[in-house]
Amino acid sequence: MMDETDSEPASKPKICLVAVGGGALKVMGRLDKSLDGNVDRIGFDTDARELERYPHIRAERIGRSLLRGLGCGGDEDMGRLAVDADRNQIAQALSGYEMVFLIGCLGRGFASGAMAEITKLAGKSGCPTVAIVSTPFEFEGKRPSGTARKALNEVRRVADCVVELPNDLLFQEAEESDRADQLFDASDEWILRAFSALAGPLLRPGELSADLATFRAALKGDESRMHFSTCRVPSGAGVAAVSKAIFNCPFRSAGMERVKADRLLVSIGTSGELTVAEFSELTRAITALFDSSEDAVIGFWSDPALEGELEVTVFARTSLAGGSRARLPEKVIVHQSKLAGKKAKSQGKERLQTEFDVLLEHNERGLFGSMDVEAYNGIDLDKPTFLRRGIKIPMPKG
Amino acid sequence: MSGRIVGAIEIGCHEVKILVGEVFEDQSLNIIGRSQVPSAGVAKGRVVNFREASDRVGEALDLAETSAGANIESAYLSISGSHLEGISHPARTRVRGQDNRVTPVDVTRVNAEAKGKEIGKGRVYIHFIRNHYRLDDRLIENPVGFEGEELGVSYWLLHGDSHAVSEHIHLVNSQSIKVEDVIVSSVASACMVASEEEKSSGCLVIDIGRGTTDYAFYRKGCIVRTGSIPVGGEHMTNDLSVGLRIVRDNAEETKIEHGAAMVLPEDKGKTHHLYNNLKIGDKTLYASSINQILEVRIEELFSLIRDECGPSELQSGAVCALLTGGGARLPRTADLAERVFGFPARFAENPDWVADELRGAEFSTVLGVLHYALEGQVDRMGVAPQKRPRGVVGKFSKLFRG
Repeated sequence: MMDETDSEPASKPKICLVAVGGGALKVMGRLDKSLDGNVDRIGFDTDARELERYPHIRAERIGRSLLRGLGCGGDEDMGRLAVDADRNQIAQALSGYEMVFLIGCLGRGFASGAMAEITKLAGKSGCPTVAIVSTPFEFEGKRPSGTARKALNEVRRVADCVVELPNDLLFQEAEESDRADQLFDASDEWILRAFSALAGPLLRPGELSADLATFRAALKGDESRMHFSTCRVPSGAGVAAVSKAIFNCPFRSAGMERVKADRLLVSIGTSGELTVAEFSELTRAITALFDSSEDAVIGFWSDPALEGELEVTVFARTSLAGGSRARLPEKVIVHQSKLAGKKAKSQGKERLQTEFDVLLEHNERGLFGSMDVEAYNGIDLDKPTFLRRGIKIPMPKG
Repeated sequence: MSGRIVGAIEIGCHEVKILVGEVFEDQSLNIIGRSQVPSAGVAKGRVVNFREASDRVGEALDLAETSAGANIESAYLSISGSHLEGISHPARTRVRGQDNRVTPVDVTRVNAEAKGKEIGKGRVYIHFIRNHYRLDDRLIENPVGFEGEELGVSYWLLHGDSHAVSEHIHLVNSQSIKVEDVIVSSVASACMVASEEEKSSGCLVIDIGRGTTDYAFYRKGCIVRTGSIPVGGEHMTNDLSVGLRIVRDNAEETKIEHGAAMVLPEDKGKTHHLYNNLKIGDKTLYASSINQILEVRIEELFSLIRDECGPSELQSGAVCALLTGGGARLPRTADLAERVFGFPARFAENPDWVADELRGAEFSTVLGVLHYALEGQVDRMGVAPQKRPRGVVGKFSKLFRG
């Protein structure tokens, strides 16, 4: 299914990008100037000096009475208290928007304590909230990891959509010869890419574009699972290269290869040289990848700033409660006579099988995602060792 | 049938295994039935979904009883998980016997003192594993009748989280079968795969399961340390799934078919295909990448065990490492263990006298449960060691050979 809109939209949606804490302010400071005027930028922090550093961001200093313009000193509880003290100020600053994106670098200090509460206040008016967060590198220590995990769980409970960037995955993206500072820049860059990819289709002029209502419908959904991925590849690299890049995006969760999306939003951006045949092949391949031919919204826009590159963003939502497509019966009862010679497990027992078994067993911590973190001497041993140690695993190119 | 019907039960993350034995009054045993059922609702040694786990245990018990043709009267249950902890607790007493000769009363007194350490709230003792007695400066297996002034003994006291233990027990009790005793997996499997010679000279037995890895450290014939690390074969599969960006089933297949625990120079440039059909969706994987992911995980696992035991304690007390369990089947695991521990390592299975069908390392825990439950718990009751009857394991050989 494709949504066609008028070539001249009546008005652009009111979108707000919120930076929570110093790390997020730094990321927002690098935001592409092309989005100026389309997006309101607000920065929340307790540190007055940090807020003054970015004059083009609307500063909302909170916790004045508590911290008197100083930072939280790495204490997330202070962040929580600061939000509690200035709830009205925050709610007022975030009112009147049709969509709110929040970015935060979790791990220590203000963002970890305040992110969930600010997200909750932003969503009070009924607008969709999207939180884009990074979680710390393993080498930053055990405490930041634990704090980030706790904060992320709180954010997940209140945001409509959470896009997580585990910083440890960036080791896999980097080359061994890269400078160390490039690694940190890459983290900021990916957060911005996520925002640009999510908000881009709503803001940029497009031939076929996803309107805000479609986007809201995709975001709001009970008992569902969201998969997000974005990539940039050279134009003409081919469908296989796009598929590979989608799966290699650090935002994507393990198991995305098998996602069957009930709702799929695809945004394709080019600098203008995509042919009809290429566009058709690409859209068919992506919808087939996610087995979502029934409800796919394709957004297409062009921006000369892409300079010969193709940006593809996939936003797949899978309903776990009940999909629109025909599903397997909930219980598959295997007759005894068919079990002769087979393993004992099915003998005389009903085997429960749902279509989304595979989705349920994957998330950000891989197969152990559904389990509580049981730290061994402060180390989350469920997380792959190579990720914790920052060892890059080479993958064949092409 | 005239004997008592007992079941040895292992509720692992991968499978529920049960052996049914008939115990006769003369302490001989006949294994009359067994069952293996895929497990569910158990992760890293803890029950995470009682209903699922209970269903599987019930299914395994039904199959075991059907195969034995008799109802299980009581059960012995293995237990694992990182909630298990151990403490070494020594005790000493003056010898009060006539002519300074040790009497059974002295032995009972020193044992009671060594086992009397209080543990925290919410913890429950599972094993009291005794080391050799020390009479003045001499190590003695049974000091009764020897002359000396001071008698000492050290116990390895194993305790676990009372909730975790009671959940495991309740899984069996809820099937109307009484759990007689609980045996720690590492102790059970170690007593099966290590020979008497290896136990005497000192060895480290490592059982790499699906969700946890259990180990037991033998020094001079006694277990001086045990432990459980919450890492197993499933973690290796997960690492491959995340690192190579493939789904779990493919990761498991890749691990089994192409995985090895060390990267060797010949792995460089070698590739494997995920499906090997070279169609769209097939994926090329570097052998070195697969092995590197596995190597860092297993090396970390061995390093954690080495650090828990104490590197110097291991160097002075053990001469070899015995690897068992499904996770240890990966090629080059023994080489990696040798590199980390600094002494020879080998993959170990159950002894030759066990029947072929129970020879595999996956049965070592459940066989050990029967063995330990029937003859190894005598000392727990505070009774001084006496001459043991002919071992149950010895009788297995007669029943299962050929």
